[in-house]
Amino acid sequence: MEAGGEHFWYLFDIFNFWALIVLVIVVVWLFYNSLRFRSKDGSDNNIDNFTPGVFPKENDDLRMELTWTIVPFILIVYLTYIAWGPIDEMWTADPDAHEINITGNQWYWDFDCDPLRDTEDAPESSVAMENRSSTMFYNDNGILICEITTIEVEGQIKPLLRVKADESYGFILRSNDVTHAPFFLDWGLKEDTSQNVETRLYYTPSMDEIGSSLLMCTEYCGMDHGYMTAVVEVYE
Amino acid sequence: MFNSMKNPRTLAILAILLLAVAVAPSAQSYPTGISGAQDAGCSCHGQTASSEVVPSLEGLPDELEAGATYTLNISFTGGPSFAENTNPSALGGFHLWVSAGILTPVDDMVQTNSDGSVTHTGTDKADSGQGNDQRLWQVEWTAPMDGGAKFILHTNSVNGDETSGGDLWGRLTADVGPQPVEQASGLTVLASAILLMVVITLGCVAWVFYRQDPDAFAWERFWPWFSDFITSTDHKKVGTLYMVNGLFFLGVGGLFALIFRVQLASPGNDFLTQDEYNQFFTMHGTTMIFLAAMPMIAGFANWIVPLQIGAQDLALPRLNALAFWLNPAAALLIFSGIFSGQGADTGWTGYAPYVVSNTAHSGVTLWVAGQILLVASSTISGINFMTTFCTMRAPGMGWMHMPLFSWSMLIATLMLFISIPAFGIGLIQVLLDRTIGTVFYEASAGGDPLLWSHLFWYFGHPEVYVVVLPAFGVISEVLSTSARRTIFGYKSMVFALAGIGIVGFIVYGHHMFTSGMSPVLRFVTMLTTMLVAVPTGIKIFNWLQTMHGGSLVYRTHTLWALGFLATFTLGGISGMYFPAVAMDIHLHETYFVVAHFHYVFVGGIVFGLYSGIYYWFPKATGRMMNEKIGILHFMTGFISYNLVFWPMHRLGIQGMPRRQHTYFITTDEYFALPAEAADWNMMITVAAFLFFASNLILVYNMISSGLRGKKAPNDPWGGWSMEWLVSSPPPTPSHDPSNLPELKFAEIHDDSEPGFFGRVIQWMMIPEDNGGEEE
Repeated sequence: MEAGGEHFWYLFDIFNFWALIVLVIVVVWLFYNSLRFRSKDGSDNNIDNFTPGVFPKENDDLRMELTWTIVPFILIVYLTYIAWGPIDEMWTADPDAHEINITGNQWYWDFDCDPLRDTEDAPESSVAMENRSSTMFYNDNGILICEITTIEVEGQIKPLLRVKADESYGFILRSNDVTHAPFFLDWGLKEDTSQNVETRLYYTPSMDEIGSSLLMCTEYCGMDHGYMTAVVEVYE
Repeated sequence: MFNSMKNPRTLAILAILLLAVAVAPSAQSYPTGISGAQDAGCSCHGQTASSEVVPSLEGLPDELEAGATYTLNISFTGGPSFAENTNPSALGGFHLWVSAGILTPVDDMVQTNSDGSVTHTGTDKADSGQGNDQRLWQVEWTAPMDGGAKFILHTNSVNGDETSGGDLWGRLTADVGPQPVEQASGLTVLASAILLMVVITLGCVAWVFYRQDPDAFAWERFWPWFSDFITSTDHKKVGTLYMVNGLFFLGVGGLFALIFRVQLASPGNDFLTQDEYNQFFTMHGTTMIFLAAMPMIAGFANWIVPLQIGAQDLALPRLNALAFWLNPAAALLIFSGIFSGQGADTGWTGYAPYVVSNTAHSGVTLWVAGQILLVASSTISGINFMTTFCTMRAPGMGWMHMPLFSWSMLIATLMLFISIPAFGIGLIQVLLDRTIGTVFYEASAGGDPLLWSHLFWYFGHPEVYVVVLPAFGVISEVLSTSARRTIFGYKSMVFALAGIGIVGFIVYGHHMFTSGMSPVLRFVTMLTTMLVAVPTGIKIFNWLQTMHGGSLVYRTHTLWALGFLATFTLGGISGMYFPAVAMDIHLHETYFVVAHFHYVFVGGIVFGLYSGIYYWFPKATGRMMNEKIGILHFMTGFISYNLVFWPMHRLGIQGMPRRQHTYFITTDEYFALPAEAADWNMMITVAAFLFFASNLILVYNMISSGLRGKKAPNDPWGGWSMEWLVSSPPPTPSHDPSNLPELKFAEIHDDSEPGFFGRVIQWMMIPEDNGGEEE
């Protein structure tokens, strides 16, 4: 398992590549200029005739300055272009996604596998009501889509959210008090939960992501912020 | 000062203050906060413990047997009650706490409290209801299965008038069995370290004074020297005060960091409690940005700007002193919470609604009040610098002839002006929410927590540029002078500064990609954040090209400037990872962010300012700094700095969240951080101590060189700008007002006539020929 999702690593590798090129240019240039054009004997060779109170003669070259305005600009345009593609990936609504409620509280997470269960909006679908409970949700074919149990993390009992690989999920995020943010470590996703705003995240865990990973709170929320954890398991 | 003390009005004010201090209610301060009656006693029987009442606790064993039950006899002597007293309500009562084991009452003279402690009851038949009707009680104590216990016993002796007047109480503590090893709390460590720093700072001040003239070291001479400093409106002295203030809090902020780095050295550590940890990282951020970086920038600006643009002083010297003296006042407010154990614990960003929730510490209110003072201070000093730039440039100095440090301060001041009102408004709203019950940010009452994030980051991101642009200015001066070359592309440098200043205002949304804000803002700020790399890149390449064809002289300030180029480039590059939303979603609130902004703040700002210290120290003190010690400082500082912050990139990518009391290593049950994360954290902690120590070298160098360094000439490095015209240290007024220097030119400049911008400013100003009076 590796922290960060597919889009993260795709962009990360490209950005690293260009970052390395820029860095090498700067460092080589820095060392070359600072060693090649140093004062060999340490004495003060006043090349541009600096005199206190006299604005020195000009030192510029419009072509060079334009070069390092335009070339970085092109690189920026390219990087923006490739980063543009997945910009809304995690917020793009999938109407067929299984909805899971995540509610932040000081300082624990609440999960709800079947947010429609007790509401009037619950569709009169073929899903038998006995297949629904807030801690478990089966789809029409009787396949377990979502389950909530508990797990021990460093001696504390924490919630364990189990979701199925290759199924699309929509997480509806709320908070009962201050702002929190669940961080799906393995998927590289996070989004704030607010008290009076409903935020959402959409994700389809892949078969490569089967296994359990820690979910942490990544918006500072007070005393036990660092221990506000849960575990997310993706099963086959 | 002595003269003014003879003034009857001053004496009257002092007398009123003394009286107020004397009659103010006495307060006790505990490093962990007053944890209720256990520390402070019951005020129903007097404010503080009295030695007249002697409690006694009998029946504790010498050798503790695990799990055994002991009968304890509690009694007391002394105080207003006496054994033969026939008034049953004029005897006494008790309260007994134990740290381990269980206390059980034997009869109904004793009751158990909800916290497990036991106290007297009022059940005796002759009792009038007050319950203080006994002098002897019995309880049973069941020892814990392992370890010893600590008892705290309070007994009170009452005089029977059923009021608290005349009653007394006494305290007894007793230990039984093996005691846990005493461990200082994080707050105690911090308080001791800060106290030590205050003593050292004051010692340094006294030493500097002593060394000036060892034969005449006397209070009568010290006080006028010192009071001249603290009452001065001279830009140089205020600048020195700003620098001392900034360096002191740089040290304090560093101490915070060291203490919480100890906590993070290994996973699951409990060196600090969560409460302490949260306060410490909050105070670290607030201290470093508002009490260290900003004052140091202001210190440089105070010292250098008037000298550099050929002015006698700043335009508004008294406002300048006011702006400085708001800083220590704000610092006191900001820190006042932490020593009561209730310091601000919101993070320096103070996100709503946590900042207004009742789970946040009460110290947040004072922390907010202190920051409002700092907003006022920054605004006042900003007005001052703007006025100085507009009206007091030397004859012949057009806008496009100002040295780049002055330009950077001008742009920084403009940015501060446009951004800081938003922060001030937000702070005032928070203060009102916390004090008089408004609901700007109270989500349950319809307030909008995101509003705070918008206001804060609308200020917070430009604030980064406000502190980093002056560092850019310093680097421009240092590199140009050291390379003996005119700065490459002076105009594009100015335009790049202005470009950063403009674009820097519309990038702040990248702090909020995951906050649920408008997708439009998400998209726009992604573009602008990417774009801000272009002017920053221009500056870096111009600096590199400045050295071309030059004759670089290696001195300590040159080394720091070259080090800045490397580390700031790294910090700039890592900043490019955040506008890419898909990457930010993973990196947000992780150590990658911490690594990035420390590369900018330390590798950019602090390195730039260190370079500036070595560069202008001879001008300010008239003494050269020791180059050997300086190089030692650079080598140790540069290496240990990179060891601290480079591994944080890796930890962030691995998903270690910031602002967390601990971190979790992968187990068989779940995936979290890899095992190596613990090793990296340990290394960071060790390197952090080294980095802190390396900065002490700078302090030593400043003091020893300031006293014994070689005398500095007017222009030790061969710079061209006007601060090198005057003697070292500069006279007061800095440039002779009757004979201001005129800027000359090495070449004929086409733009010596005022351009469009210059004409607009001139048009706005009151013409001088009507004597400066308004029409």
